[in-house]
Amino acid sequence: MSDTKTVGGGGTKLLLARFRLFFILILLMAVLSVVSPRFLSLENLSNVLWSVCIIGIMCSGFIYSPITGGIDLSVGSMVALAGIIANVLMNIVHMPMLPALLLTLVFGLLVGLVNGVVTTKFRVPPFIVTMAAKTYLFGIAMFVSNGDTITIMGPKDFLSIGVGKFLGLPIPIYIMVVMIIASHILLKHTVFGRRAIAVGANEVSAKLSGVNPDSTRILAYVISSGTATVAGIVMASLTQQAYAPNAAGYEFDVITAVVIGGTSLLGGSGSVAGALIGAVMVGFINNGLNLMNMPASFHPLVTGIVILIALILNQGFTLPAWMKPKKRAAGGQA
Amino acid sequence: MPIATLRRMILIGLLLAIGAVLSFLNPSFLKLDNLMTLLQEASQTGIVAIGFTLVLITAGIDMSIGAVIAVTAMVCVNFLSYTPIPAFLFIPLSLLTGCLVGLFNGYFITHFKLPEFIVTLASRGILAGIALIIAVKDSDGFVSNVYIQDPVYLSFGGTVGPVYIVTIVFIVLAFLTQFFLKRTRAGTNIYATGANPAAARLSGINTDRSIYGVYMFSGFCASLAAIFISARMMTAMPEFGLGSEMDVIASVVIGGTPFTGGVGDIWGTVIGTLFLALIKNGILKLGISPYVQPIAIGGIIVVVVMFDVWYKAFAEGIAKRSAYRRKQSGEAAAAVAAEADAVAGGDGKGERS
Repeated sequence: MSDTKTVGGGGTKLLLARFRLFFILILLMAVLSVVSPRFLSLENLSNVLWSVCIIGIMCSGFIYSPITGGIDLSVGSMVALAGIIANVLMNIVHMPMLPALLLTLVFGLLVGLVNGVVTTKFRVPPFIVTMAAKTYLFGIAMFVSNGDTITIMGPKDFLSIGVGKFLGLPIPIYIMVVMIIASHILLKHTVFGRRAIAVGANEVSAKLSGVNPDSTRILAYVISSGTATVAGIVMASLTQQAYAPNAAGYEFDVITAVVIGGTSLLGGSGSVAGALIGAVMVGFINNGLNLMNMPASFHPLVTGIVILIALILNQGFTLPAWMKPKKRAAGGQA
Repeated sequence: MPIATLRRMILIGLLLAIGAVLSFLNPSFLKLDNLMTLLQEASQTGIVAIGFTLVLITAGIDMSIGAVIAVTAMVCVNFLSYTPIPAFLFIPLSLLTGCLVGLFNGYFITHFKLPEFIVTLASRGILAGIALIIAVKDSDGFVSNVYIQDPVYLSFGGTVGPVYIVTIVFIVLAFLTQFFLKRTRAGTNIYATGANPAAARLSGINTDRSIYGVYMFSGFCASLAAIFISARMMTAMPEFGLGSEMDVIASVVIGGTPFTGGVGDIWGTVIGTLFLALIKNGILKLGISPYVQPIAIGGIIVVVVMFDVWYKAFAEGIAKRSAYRRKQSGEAAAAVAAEADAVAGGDGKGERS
């Protein structure tokens, strides 16, 4: 309580702490625009926006798996597979667009259901289940597409999802914004969101207070897979092609975005808005590397380092003793 | 350990059955050539899997092994292309690469208490980048394919009689590691660290040292495998081994080492490695699309893990029921004894009062 009453410096500090991500983002933008003058051009920024859209859509659902204390590594393969399945349904089976996309979505939800059920009912570590899912989904994608890059000639309506504009802004942005807002409301203002946080923070106490951890976790994986499917559909219509290894590393980008956004991988806390800022940062970093003519090899290198730094910063509560001597001393005196 | 033995017997039975079916469907399967190639492929995965088993026994996981293979191969190629250092000198040096990566992983895991999984995933990304950066490039800056010509280096991919050297190394390493795990104090400490880290720490075991040790060993094994793989292929690319962690995980999981830590040994891993190599070889020999391989591996992992968990619960249920029955009959016996006692005691009391 006394914190809120402090004047001047305290208030600024609080502001800095609350919006630190935003400040880091602006700092990053400033650095990038100094490094490369092309960065701030409208053309470049709209390019960044495309990739941010895909990662942002994935984040909006992916975030629930770390919040409940798990992780979903299958999202990257799911993105690729969704595009391929949608293409098969629309252009080979010749289904109308809406049922085809719905069917693709149902498939994605089923994959999530399998992930969730195997993780919770059989008590298998989630990263193993979803790693296996990543492998077999990739296999299915390669098998169905025969390893080829498929150009989607597709129905016009489908292609307009990706490239169409509404009120001057591309449609994927609307999709992303709607999904991020929906995810935020789901996390902060619904029973499911509360339960997800409770299960991730402390499964035993959540169980004792009447939350079913298994069904909460299963729903988290279903949502995660579902949003990955939506991202896959958007990406397929955006790039007008479907190729199995296309989205291979996306799970790392999504993990990076979510971790930058302050979501703990140990479960129990998370912020959708933070994940969105994280997604924008990942987009900027990747774009910056491209603009600086860095070879593609720097991409995984930088992503890995960013993940580690963000994790260490997030993990303040488990830092070793020598890194938080002041808190220790204060506690001792009190 | 009757459950583990039974499981292993089933696995060996399956191994033989699949082998029999394969040799029936495709006679070329049983040729010495094919069997030795199969063993060689199994050994390449198996060497990495041995290190991975130790990590799994401490209830950790190492996702960086694939990238360690890539980086080690690149280090070797750099030595070959740019330095006159002979192979027998730089190979031990490049084996240090894996140990260093293990040190890095261990530091972040023990010091910052970060989840093993995410630390090694991050170092996988970092290493994959490093492998591409240090790759030998041509004048245009494109990664060039280096053909390894050093005879000492290439001899690692050779054979002794019909058996590949890598297979011999795999068997020797398996024996040594099994001995280390079961017969030395450090091995016991590793089991203790995995089974219950808090209890291990309280009983004076330096769990951090065990964790450092297993990650360094895992990196070392991956580096060792990298040398054999590149010697066998006579070339090295920066994408080497990326994605092979799935095969390794599958081998260890099929071998019966659980993710909960504290349990597992090398023999299971050896059988699991053979099993996986057999299935991959079978898919090729039967002319099935190679894209089925990842589907099969992913599916096998899920099925085996589910079976293990179900079987464990099943066995525990049986044990609980029999314990309950024993307790019941014990209680009945105790009740009879108590009655007899009461009668006797009553008599005693009566006398006393």
